[in-house]
Amino acid sequence: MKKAIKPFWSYDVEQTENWLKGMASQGYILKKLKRASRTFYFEQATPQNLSYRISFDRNQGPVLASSLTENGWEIAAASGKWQILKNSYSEKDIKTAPVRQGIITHNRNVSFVFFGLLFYLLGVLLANVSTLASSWFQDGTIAVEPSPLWAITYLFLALTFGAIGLASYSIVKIKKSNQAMLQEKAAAAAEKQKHHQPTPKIPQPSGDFVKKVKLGWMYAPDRLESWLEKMEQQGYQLHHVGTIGTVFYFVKGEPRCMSYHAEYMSTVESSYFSIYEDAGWLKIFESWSAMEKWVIWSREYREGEEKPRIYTEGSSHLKRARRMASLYTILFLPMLFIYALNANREFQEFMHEGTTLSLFGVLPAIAFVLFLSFIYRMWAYYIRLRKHYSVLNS
Amino acid sequence: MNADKVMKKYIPMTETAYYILLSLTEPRHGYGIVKHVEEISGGRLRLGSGTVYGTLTKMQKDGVITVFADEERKTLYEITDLGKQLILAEIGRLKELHQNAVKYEGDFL
Repeated sequence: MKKAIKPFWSYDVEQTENWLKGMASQGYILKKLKRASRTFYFEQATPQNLSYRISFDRNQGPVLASSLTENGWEIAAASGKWQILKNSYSEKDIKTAPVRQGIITHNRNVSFVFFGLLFYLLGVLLANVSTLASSWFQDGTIAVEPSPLWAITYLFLALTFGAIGLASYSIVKIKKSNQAMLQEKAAAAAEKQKHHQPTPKIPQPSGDFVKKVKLGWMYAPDRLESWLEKMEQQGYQLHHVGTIGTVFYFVKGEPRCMSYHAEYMSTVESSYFSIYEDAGWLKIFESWSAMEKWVIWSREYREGEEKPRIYTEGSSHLKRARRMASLYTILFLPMLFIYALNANREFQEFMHEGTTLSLFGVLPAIAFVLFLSFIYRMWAYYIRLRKHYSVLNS
Repeated sequence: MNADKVMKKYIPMTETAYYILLSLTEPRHGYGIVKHVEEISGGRLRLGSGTVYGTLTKMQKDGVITVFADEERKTLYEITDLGKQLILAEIGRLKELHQNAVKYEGDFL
């Protein structure tokens, strides 16, 4: 049995798949994967033409969709939520594949962890360097005490640099391969699109844009939706939204009947976009951040027609709204706590020591009220939505 | 999720969940499900994209359905053995409802 160690095999699965294919063509057939030691075990056989696909499924055990099995896919090795599938069909006969989404999401989460580690380590390093630098500037010298423990210090320093290197490598590598996997899909779709009519492009306006700034609409998305719909009825057609989602660019034109929908997604899957787009919804905005993803959808309808809706059942809509409100509440609670402490301290100082209340002193109190209002507005939105559906159902 | 838990969670099924699962007689794309449900319900049910996406995600998590990609890398949804068990149990329940509807219908006319 031949062994091969691939420490970063999961970062770029396409590369690993090609490597496995190459091994099979040399007569080494994958038998087992040990994830903890990142070791691949091969059995020697006659060279074969095999295709490999790696998949990550956090939901199910190692059971394949029967469409995959019928198309020649079988499990070559499985470990935890990872599966390596192989197929002996010729490439043109392979019509199916496991989805890439699981790997994209998993690897993105891995890179978030490395981002956290990187920030922490750089912070620690910076603190040490600044201590050294300040003592250098004060005395012009750095006194080095001889100590037998210096070896440990250097070891830690080496470990820190090693970890920084590892984290940076992981982040860059994952970003590249995730982008490639997403483009693979876009390229396949474009290939097909050649035979279909192209999607209509939004025409450039002849006149100037009417710019409107809308801050904090995320805390009451239903209000944004009705505002946009009202603007459209007055002939202000939404053309696009600025990158961070605060500036709305309108074009003056004919009044339109439009249905708008703004929603929060914690994980964005490509299947999400295709279901909406296939149904005729137009994505007018998608926030840049991968962690908190806001999407605004729009769809035109004729007068007298029923307004198209994204949710035709209350429970799925309410579930999404509740998740959004809970997540932001958890996110904001620590900030509320810190601002409350600071505001209280400023207030105590003002009361007891008679210091003048500066603008800087009131800032924590303002921030506290602001974050409290965000939380209040989100739950108010949730309650409005619940009322809406209970009226609809009764 | 084991079979008992899934049965308890889904039965009786909502109309949306029932028709989505019923449409998976063959693997379909997300929007393919929407169109098929509209067709077999005689145009009565037009499922919203968000509702379908949310239900499919939930069903996938519970092991009722599974996914794979086609040549265009588009996601197709397929019913699992557990899902087949579930829809058959629900169909059995609906048959009972239907039999009793036919049996006692006349008494209300």
